[in-house]
Amino acid sequence: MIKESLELRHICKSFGAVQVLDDINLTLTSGKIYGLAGENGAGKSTTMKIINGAYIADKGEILIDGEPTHFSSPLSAQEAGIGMVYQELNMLPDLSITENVFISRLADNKAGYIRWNKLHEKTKELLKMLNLELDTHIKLGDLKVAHQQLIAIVRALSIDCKVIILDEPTSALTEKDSALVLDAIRRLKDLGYIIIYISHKLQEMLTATDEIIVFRNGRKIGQYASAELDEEKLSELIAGRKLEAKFPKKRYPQGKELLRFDHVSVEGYLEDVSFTLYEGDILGFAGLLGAGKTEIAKTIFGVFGKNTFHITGKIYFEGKELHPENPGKSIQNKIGLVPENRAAEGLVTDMSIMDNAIMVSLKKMARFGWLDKKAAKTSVDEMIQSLEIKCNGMGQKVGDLSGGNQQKVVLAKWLTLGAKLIIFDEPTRGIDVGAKVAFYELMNQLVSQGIGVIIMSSETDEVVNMSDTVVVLKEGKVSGTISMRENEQLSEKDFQKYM
Amino acid sequence: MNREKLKKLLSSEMSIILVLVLLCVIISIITPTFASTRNIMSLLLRTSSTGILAIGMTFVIATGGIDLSVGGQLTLMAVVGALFFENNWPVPVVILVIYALGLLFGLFNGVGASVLKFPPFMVTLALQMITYGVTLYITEGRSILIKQESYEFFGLGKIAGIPVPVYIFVLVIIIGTLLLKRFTVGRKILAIGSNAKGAWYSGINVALTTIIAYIIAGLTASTAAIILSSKLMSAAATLGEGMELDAIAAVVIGGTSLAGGNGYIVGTIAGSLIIEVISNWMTLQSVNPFLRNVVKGGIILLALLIDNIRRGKLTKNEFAA
Repeated sequence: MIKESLELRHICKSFGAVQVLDDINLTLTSGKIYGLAGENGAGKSTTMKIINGAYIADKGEILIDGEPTHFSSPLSAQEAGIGMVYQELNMLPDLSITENVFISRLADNKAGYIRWNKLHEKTKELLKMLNLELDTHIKLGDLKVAHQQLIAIVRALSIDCKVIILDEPTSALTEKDSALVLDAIRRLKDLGYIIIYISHKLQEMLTATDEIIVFRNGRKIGQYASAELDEEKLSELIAGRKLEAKFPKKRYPQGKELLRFDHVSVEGYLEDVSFTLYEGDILGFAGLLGAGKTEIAKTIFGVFGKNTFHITGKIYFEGKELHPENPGKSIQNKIGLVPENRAAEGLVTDMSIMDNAIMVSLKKMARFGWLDKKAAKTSVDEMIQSLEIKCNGMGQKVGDLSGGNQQKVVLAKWLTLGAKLIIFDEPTRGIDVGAKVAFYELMNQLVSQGIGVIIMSSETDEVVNMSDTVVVLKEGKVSGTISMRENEQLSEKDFQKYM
Repeated sequence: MNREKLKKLLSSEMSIILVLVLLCVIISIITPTFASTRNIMSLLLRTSSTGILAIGMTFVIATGGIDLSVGGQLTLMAVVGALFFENNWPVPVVILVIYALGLLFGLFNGVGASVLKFPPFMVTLALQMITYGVTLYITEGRSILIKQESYEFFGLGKIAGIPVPVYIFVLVIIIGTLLLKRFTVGRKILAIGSNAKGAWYSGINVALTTIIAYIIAGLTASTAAIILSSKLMSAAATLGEGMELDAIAAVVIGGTSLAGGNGYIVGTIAGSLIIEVISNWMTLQSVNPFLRNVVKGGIILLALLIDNIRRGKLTKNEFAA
C-alpha cells in the first residue's frame, strides 16, 4: 500500500509499430493534486492505464515509496492503493448508492450474507469524507450527475486507496456542480491522497491543481506549478506552438431572416421561446445544463416529433412555416444537427468516413437506390481535403478517429447534404485546444457561405465570443437576448446573472 | 504474394473462403468420390435452397434482428402452392401467390419488430409456430403431390448440365450482394444495425428499413419454397423443418455478427457451403445421420471461436476500453 509517493521511471509503451509512450518519468507525492494535460493521443490515458494496471509497460519501472513494484492487472494496482474514476459513469443506475459503492464486496463473509445496515453505515461514513449528506438507499440514477460523479469517487475511496485518478470528472457538469466535485477533491488532498486529474477544461485545471504535467506526442514535456501558468501558456505547451486567437471570430454583414421562433413552447421542456437567426450571424445559446439549449436544437431538428411532444407556437424557416416532425423531414428542409452526443446521435461509429459522410445524402448520391460510388467518392474526398480530416483514407472506421476529426465528419455529413442551417450542440466538447480553433474557423467559413449557424454550449465563453447574438436560457425560458455586435466589450461574466 | 497481403487476407472476412477451399481439398484427398462432377452438382443443388435462405437471413441479422420463421414460412408457402396446383391454377400465378405470401410474412415480422417493438426473436418465433401449425392443420400430416409437370423446371430442370436451382442461387447471390453493397437500402440496413439512434438522427426511416430487411428474408423463403417443392413435386409439413437454424448458422459461420451492423453475403455463401460440404462428406462416409447435427453444432462453435480470434476479441478486454 502506498504511503508517500508513486514514481514512474523510463516508462515506454508501444502498440504494434506505434510508440505511444516514450521515456515517461513522473513523481507524485502525497497531499497534492496533479493535472494531466495534453491533446487526445498525447499519452495521458495510456500513462494512467499503466498506473492502474490495465496496461503493462514495455520498459521502465513503477516505484511505490521508492520500492520497485509491478502491476500485473487492475486488481493488483487496486491492492497497492490505486483507485480509478472513469470518465463515463460506469455505474449502475438502478441500484442504490450503497450497492454502487460496495457492489464487488457486498458480503463480508463466505456465505454471501449481506449485512445491509452495516453497509449503509460504512457508505455514510465515506460520504462524510466528501461532506455529502445523502440517503444511501436512493437509486443512483435518481441523483443529479454531479452527485453520481461523487459516488464514483466514493467507490474508489471505499477500496482503501491512496491514489485517485479522475478522468474528465467534470466534463458533463455545469460550473456550479463542477465546483462541488472540485471541493470534494480538495478535501481528499487535505486528507493526504495523491490525486491525478485529467481534463480538457484548462481554466478549471489551473485553479484546481497544484502541479500540471503536460504530455505531447507520447512524451512528457514538463511538470509545472499551476500557479506559474495561465491558460494561454498552458494551451501553447499542450499544442506545442503559439496558438492563434482562442476565438477567431469574424463578423459578416447581417442578411435576411433565416429562422424564427415565435412563442414556441414544448410541454415539459421549453416555455414561450422567441428568437431570430439572420443570415451572416451566428446565434448562440448559453445557459446551465438543463436550461433548454439541447431542447431547442431538438425542436428545430424534429427530434421532438409532434406525436409524442406537445408543441405550440410557430417556427419559420426562410419565411415559411416549419413543422419539424422528425429528423428525416428536417433533413429534407436542409437543416442539420451536430449533436451533443456524437457517438450515439451524430455518427455510426462502426461504419467508414465515407458511409457516414453520405448517410444523409443517400438520395442525392443514388439513382433508383443505386449508389453512385464515383460521385460519392469525389464528394467525400473533397470534404476530407477542405475540412482537413486526418485519416488514412475514407474507408477508415469513424470510431478510430480522434474527437475533433469525428466532429468534422459529422459536419461533412451536413455539408454534403448542402445544409442551409447547421445547429452545433456542444460543438467542441472533448476536442483538443488546437482543433477547437480550427473548428471555430470552419464556423466562420459556413457563415460566409450564407449557411445559418446556431451554437449551444455550456462553455459560456465559447458562445459569447463566437456569436453575433446570444440568447441566455434559464429553466426552459429565455432570460436574456444580447446582441454581441453592439456589445463587443461584454465578457463571459456579464452573462452569469441571466443564468 | 507477400506476407503483409497474406496477413490482411487472413484477417479479412474473405478468410472463410480459404477455410472452405482447404476443407474441400482435404476431403477430396480423403474421399476422392467427393470431387466427382455428380457429387459436386448434388452438393450445389442442396446448398442452393439453404444458401438462398441464408442470404435473406444476412439482411435481417445485419439489422441486429433474427428470423426464426423462414423455415415455417417456406413450408406453408409450398403447401399453399401445392393446394393451388390441385385446383389447376397455372404455374406463374402460383409463383406470384408464393411471393405475395413471402412479402406478407416479411411485412408481419418487420412490423412486429419495428412498429410494434416486439423482440425479433419472439415475433418470428410466433410466426414460426403459426406457420407450422397452420401447415399441419391443412395437410393433416400428409404430403400433397404436385402434378403440373412444367413446375418441375425450377427444382429438377437442368441447363447445360447444371441444375436450375444453382442458377437461381447465383442470381440471388448477385441481387443480394448488389442490394447490400451498391444500393442505399444496404447502407441503411447496416446503419440501423450498427446504431439505430444515429441512423434515425440521419433521417433514416428505421421502421421501414427494418421491414424491408424482413421482407427480403420472406422473399428468399418464397424462392426456397419454390425450389424445394418443385424438386420433390410435393409439399409436406416437414419440408422446411430446421432450415432457419441452418440459415442462421451459415450467416454466423460467414462472419456476420449477430449484434448487427455488418453483413457478408460472400461469407454467408461460404458458410452454407461449409455446412453442406461436411454433411455431404458424412453421407459419403456413411456416418450415422443422427450425428450430423452434432457435427453442425461443432462447426458453429468453431466458427465463433475463429471469428473471435480473428477480431482479437479474446485477447482484448471489451469492458476496459
